Amino acid sequence: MDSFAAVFLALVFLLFIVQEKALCQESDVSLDSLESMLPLPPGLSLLEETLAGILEDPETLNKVLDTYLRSDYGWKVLKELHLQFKTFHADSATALGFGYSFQKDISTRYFTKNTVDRIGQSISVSATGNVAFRRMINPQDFLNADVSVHIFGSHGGVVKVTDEVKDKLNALEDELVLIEDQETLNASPVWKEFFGIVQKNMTTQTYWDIAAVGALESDQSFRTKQYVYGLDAGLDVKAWNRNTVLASVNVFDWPFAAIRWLSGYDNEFIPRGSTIPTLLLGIKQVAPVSGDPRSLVGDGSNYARLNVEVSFKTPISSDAHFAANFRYFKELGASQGVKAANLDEQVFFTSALTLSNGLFASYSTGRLPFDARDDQIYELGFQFSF
Amino acid sequence: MADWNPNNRACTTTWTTLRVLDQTDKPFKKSGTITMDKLTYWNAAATPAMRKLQATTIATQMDNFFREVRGAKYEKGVAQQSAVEDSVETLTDAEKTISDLAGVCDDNYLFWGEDING
Repeated sequence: MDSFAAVFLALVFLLFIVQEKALCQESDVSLDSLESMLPLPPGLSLLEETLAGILEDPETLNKVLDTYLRSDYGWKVLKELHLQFKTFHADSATALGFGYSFQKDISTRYFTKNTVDRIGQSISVSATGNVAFRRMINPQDFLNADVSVHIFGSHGGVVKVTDEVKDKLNALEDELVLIEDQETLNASPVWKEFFGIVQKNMTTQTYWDIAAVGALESDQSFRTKQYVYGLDAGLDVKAWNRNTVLASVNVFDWPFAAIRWLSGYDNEFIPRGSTIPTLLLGIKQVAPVSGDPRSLVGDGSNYARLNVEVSFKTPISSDAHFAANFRYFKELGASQGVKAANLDEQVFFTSALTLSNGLFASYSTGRLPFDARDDQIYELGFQFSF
Repeated sequence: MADWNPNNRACTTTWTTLRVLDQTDKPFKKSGTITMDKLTYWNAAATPAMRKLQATTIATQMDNFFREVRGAKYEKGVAQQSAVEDSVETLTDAEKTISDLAGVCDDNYLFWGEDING
């Protein structure tokens, strides 16, 4: 429970910062106006500007966070809470802010014992969102915190091998670890033999998860908030054996299989069954508490909502990946007023090209439930792990 | 972080497993410091619920592969669900490395050919 108390305190602290920032904006108190009230000597002003620049850099803040949340400072209880300072861009304006995510399984148990096919149950809590210190410049102003009870199962994935095969794989592995060049490794007969043996013993894995979920959704100021409860269902199918029909009909990977083949990264056109998109479906009842934009068109009632999320990522080359994420929200049986105001449906799509050195370019379009309008966001940046 | 060592079967088996699961294609020597967000399953735009689902699929298949294909057994006192749960926890942390993941697997599995008394 210590970790929950610490997380709670951290969230309260962050909300306090946001609230203070909002109060400063509402009362027109800015750093500039404070500076005019407290004039500094010219040299000190320059120093202050330099320090302010460093302190407002997301990378500096991330480094400080990393030091205190991940090192042995007694704050490691917060290890499930991931904070990342970032710069938000919208309509040519920028603002500092942070993204957070928290995920914790409170209890997990299996109904099966040491089998490939398994069924289990778990209870989880999670929270996610983006908070911009200038609220108007938050292109993804949507916070979510939920508790969920899951029933899940996994079926297939491998075939048991003999002890001779295990010995053989260990022997091949001992040779593979000594190869330091990637192209040499990929072309190595040792790797081809290892991969050939393994592929024969890999099958399609189906992982499913059904969850009863209760959640609080809000914007970052909590002016708009709603309770949500219902069911989520997740499905992740992976055809680990590339020679299966399911792997070859992974049409989402066809363009990237073509790029890999034409660039010489793959020797032939091989769609990967390991990149079949993952699907999350939800049917929820939404109970608006405050700030529901639907109430402006005369409908503040509870409503049923369908959620869909599809996630896909695949390699393009050894150092590049393409990723896409699609989210869809649809109010079921929406009133004419809600439909006319275009509030019954939200679509949000993100695609990104990421390089292994941290460079990325992404494009997002659409809106999430509390966004007033569709946004188009281009990002070109650099991700760095401390 | 575990000692990323070609003589440690947990490190080598974790590496080849991630390689056959199409999560990385780098050679062993360069793989220890690769972070989870650089692996194929990690989609930065996905929600935590989606990421956990994908990480659990990978962790479950690693567990299948370790035991059925590579001959690993659970260390004494380790249950299947806790072994998978520990892997999921690492796989859902962007800043954890493959070396960290190998360390978690080393704690939970006794790999084929490992000296029981070692």
